[in-house]
Amino acid sequence: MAPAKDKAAAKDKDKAADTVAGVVAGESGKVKDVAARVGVTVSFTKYQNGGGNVLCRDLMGPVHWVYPSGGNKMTINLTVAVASGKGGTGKTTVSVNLACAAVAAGYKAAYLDSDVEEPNGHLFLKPRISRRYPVSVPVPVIDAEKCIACSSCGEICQYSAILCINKNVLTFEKMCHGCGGCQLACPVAAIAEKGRKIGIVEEGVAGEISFVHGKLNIGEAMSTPLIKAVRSAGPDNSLRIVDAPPGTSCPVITAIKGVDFVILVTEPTPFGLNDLGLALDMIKELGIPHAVVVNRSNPYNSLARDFCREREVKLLAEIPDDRRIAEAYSRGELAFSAAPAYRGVFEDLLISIEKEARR
Amino acid sequence: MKEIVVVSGKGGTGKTSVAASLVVLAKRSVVADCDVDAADLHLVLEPRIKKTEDFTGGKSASIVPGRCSNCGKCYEICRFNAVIKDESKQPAYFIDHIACEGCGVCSCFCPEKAIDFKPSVNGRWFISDTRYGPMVHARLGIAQENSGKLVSLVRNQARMLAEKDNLSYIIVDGPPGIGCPVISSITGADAVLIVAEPTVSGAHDLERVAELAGHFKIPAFLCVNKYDLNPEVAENIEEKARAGGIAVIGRIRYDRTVTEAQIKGLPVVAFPDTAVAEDMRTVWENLEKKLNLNKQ
Repeated sequence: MAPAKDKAAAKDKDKAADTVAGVVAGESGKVKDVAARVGVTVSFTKYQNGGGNVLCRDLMGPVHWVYPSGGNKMTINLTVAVASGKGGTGKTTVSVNLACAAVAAGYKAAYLDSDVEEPNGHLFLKPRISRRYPVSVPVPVIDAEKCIACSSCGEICQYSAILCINKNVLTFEKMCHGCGGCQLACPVAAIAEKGRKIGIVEEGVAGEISFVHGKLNIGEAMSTPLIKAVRSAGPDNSLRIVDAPPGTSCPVITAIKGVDFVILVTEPTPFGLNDLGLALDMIKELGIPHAVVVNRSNPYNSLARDFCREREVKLLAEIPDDRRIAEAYSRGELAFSAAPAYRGVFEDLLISIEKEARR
Repeated sequence: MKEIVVVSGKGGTGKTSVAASLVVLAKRSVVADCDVDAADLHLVLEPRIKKTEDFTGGKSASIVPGRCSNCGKCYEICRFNAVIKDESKQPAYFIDHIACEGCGVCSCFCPEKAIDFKPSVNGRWFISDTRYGPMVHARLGIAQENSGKLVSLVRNQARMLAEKDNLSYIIVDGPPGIGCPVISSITGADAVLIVAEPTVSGAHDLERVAELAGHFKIPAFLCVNKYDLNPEVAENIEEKARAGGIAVIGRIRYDRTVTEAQIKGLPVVAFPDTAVAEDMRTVWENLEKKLNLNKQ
């Protein structure tokens, strides 16, 4: 780790590039190797090549990335979701540190926290929120003047959200899924719709990372429309990292459906692996390319490695069971900055994801 | 009879480890695993399944090829993007069962009556015996919906068992979060036990789940798990809880015994001489005391 060099990189990219040129001279083999993995070409005489990026492994330790001069961000259009069956395995840790690694590597990156029940990413990224808007679901409104109490609305509703009793129509808004069936079924057009707020979306920036998260109202059972709203926010043409909720049912399916790649984070315990198995079943059903990251890994515990081999799923990275990472997390600090020794883990993971997602 | 639901907001704080130990300590109890889409309690309670039943939570639509006239009405009215159009196929429309919310609108308005709308099996539920008493658990089908309904079913079955055998406690292992399955797990319960971890995320999520318990007017109790990982944050959490009217009933230390017990497939209190087992016993004793005080 060379903080002085890092500062120079931030201040003056040209100067940093000079430093890198020196490193390149001694490490050309490694640089070529890394460059080949991500599919960029490296020029050793010119550190900028055809608008692409030069990347090299710093002699002092962690992978070091250099922006092309002019500071233009590399464009990429890739959505990666970070999910897990079991809660608390490290989805948010992986997501936020990956977003940091992506920005450090010169990508345009966005972090989308779709765990709307318990969003946590903001505690680590500490974004500046610039836009805030409510998300609503459509619910029926009855025009009592027009209503003929025919009970067609109650008959079509599968959710017991609308009932016709004693010539009165009652609605139970929280049960309503907003399918619009009652409105279509009403023979006298006595049903209109209004929006019922279920939560809010907040957008902003955290350094160079675009930030989006959703917050579900307390007591609200309907989370999927809010998750959809989070998924559709944020910039295109960037590396979009979706921090998914735990579990294997509707909320996580909504969060990961249609993404390019899913990382399943697990821990090498019986609970972690049982739930990883369930998550794998779900993801196969959805047909999304995926791989596993093991968190709190230690070299003597092969449970997760054996599991991945048995289930024939690729293991992309192992994050060590290190108290420094746990403590940084407990304080709301990023492993990326609080435990710099682990930067390389996330930078390598980023390279692996790119490679896997482009297969 | 008292029903206690173990919740956390944040996942992975130790709900299942705590619940498993409470089951042992509560003696005359029935246990219900309500984390139906990522159930783990069976891994440490060794249930012997006595009864297995299908769970039909909702209905699902499917287009009958011979009857479809390709009019596109279903595609037009489905609000969940569950009708997929593919003009290279015959018929050109089909239902994405993962996206289908089971509203039946497509089936109802299909002019050819070409869409079947039938109950679908969304999972299975089980009644088992463990060496600590009866257990009700479930498994939601792969990529299925209606976890809230399955949770209600599991709780009802547990209640029926408790009534039949005149048991004193129902211990419910709840799901993470604050959404639909959590609401189904706690409504009408006698108490929630919040298991928090001493991290800023843990503190943040605790507030939301405590608010949820307040919203449904259920008495809440707190224990901080792995408190020694960050005693300062642990204290903050306890202070906040007390300020919000939540009784703090104990602390559980970070101990590798918890993982070792899990690997051996046993509850933590099956290792009675460990310090962490002592912590669990304190939590239960305090909880039992408080619950019985409330009764009087």
